[in-house]
Amino acid sequence: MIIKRRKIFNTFFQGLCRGIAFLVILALIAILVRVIISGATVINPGFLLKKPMEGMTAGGIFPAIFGTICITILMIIMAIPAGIAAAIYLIEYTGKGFLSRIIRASINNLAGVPSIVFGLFGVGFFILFIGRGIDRAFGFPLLFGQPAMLWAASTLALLVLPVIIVSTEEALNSVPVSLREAAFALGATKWQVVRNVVLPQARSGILTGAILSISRGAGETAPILFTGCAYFLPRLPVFTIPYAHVPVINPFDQFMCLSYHIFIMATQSTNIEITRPIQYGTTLVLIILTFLLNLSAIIFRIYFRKRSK
Amino acid sequence: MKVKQGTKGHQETKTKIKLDGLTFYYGKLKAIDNISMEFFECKVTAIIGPSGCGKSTLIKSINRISEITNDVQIEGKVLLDNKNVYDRDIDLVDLRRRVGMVFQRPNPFPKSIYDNVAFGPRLYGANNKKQLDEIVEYSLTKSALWNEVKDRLNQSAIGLSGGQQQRLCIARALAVDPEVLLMDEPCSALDPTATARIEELIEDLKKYYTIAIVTHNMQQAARISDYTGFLLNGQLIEYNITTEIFTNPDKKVTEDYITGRFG
Repeated sequence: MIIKRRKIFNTFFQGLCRGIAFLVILALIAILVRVIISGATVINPGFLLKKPMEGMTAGGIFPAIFGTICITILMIIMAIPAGIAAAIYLIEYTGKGFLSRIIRASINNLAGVPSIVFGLFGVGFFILFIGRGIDRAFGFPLLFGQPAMLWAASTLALLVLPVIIVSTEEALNSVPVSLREAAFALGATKWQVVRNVVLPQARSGILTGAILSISRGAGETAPILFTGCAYFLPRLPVFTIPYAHVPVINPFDQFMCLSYHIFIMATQSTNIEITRPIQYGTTLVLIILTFLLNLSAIIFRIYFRKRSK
Repeated sequence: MKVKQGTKGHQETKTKIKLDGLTFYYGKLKAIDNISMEFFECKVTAIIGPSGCGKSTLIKSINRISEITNDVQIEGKVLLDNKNVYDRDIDLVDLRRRVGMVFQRPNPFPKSIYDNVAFGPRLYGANNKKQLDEIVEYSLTKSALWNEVKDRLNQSAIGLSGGQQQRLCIARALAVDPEVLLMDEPCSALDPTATARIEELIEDLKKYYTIAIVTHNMQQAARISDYTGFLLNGQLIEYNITTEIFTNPDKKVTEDYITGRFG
């Protein structure tokens, strides 16, 4: 009798777990299929390489793709080194003292802050405090104290920083103590142990975690809403160096961005019905871009795993 | 505890390491209780005792490696060539170069065999290829591994057998030219054949190095060591010439342990 009940429970929970797992997959498939079917028909070279035209009801999304790539690169430059350095400090240099507990708690709380709050913080801190501060200090007319790619990227970097720190900490913790001991016993300094033993071992884990969090940040809308994203820009955020005629990304210009483009096309556009194909196309491009980032994370992991064997 | 003058077989060489009233805490737990003993130059000293008696802690206190991962407290002194290694002005990097260590489980780096041995010298700035080649060959020869690996120095160390890995770890320790070798149950993860090879190696190495070895294998201590200390609950119960300990122990509890009545 009891045995039978145990078996029923066993089957029941197995079924329950399986059902829920399928539900997750189903949701993913539903999203992807819808977006791919409706978006694939729109995507062609013109869509990818042209500017929006006719009051943004036709044309392409090149400025948004360009802006997303620029801001992601800027975010990577700011967030990854800082995140990795912070994690190394927490794992390798601080013990379990009061200070490190406070830092850890702050990071965990930071990771739980809603992204719109980061957006507002970006306005308050980067634009109004730092930007306006610079303007005032040097007597510029409104120059740095307005929405710009740099401030948007800084806000995004802040958003993904805690995630990078936590994933890097995990990667560092997974390096066996015995290897650290071996290096210390040979007379290595702390930095030599980190540099020659811990980092090479943790490399693939650190990179994968960092790239995944970056791809998460690249699709965010709320943090860049007020800090640098533009509804429409007739020009790319590019600055040509005088005489040399070399174009460079201008981090103090505003920019267009895929995630924001989807948002305005769906809610603020002059004609939402006509722009629907553009919305799907833009969504698909954004998904593909983040997918490419995730793919590069997987490739990195395989590459480093092979190398460390 | 001192070995009595005139004990048969006790040819007093220079004292390389001297523990003087060493007491060692992990947090609040006392792991070693007021131990005084000597390790003689170019001799093998074995530390035996049941699990958890503080054997490993004892030798790890000499190169100060336990304080990396643990919260430790030390009273008393550990004198290496009459200099307390717990003095404030001691250079830990230099201490650990002079006192090499081989761990319980082989822990080669996941790098090539060559890079494993060259790891230590590189830490000290050696990067001359020819010089490194020499050090690698010399160290691997001394650890009796050269003939087995000389044709595959660039292959990963992870592909070696357990015994070979442990000899590689010995070679790695030798590559920085230490004076003392600490061995923490170096054979406990190895099969009998590999163990025999390591034991031969120790016999050979003691010509050049002062060796302190922790073992839970009494026959091993009897075979390879010149001096033996018996630890129980963090206290040094008896310390003497190995033959004396094994044939004529002073204390009943030593005899009981050696004859296998407990432990």
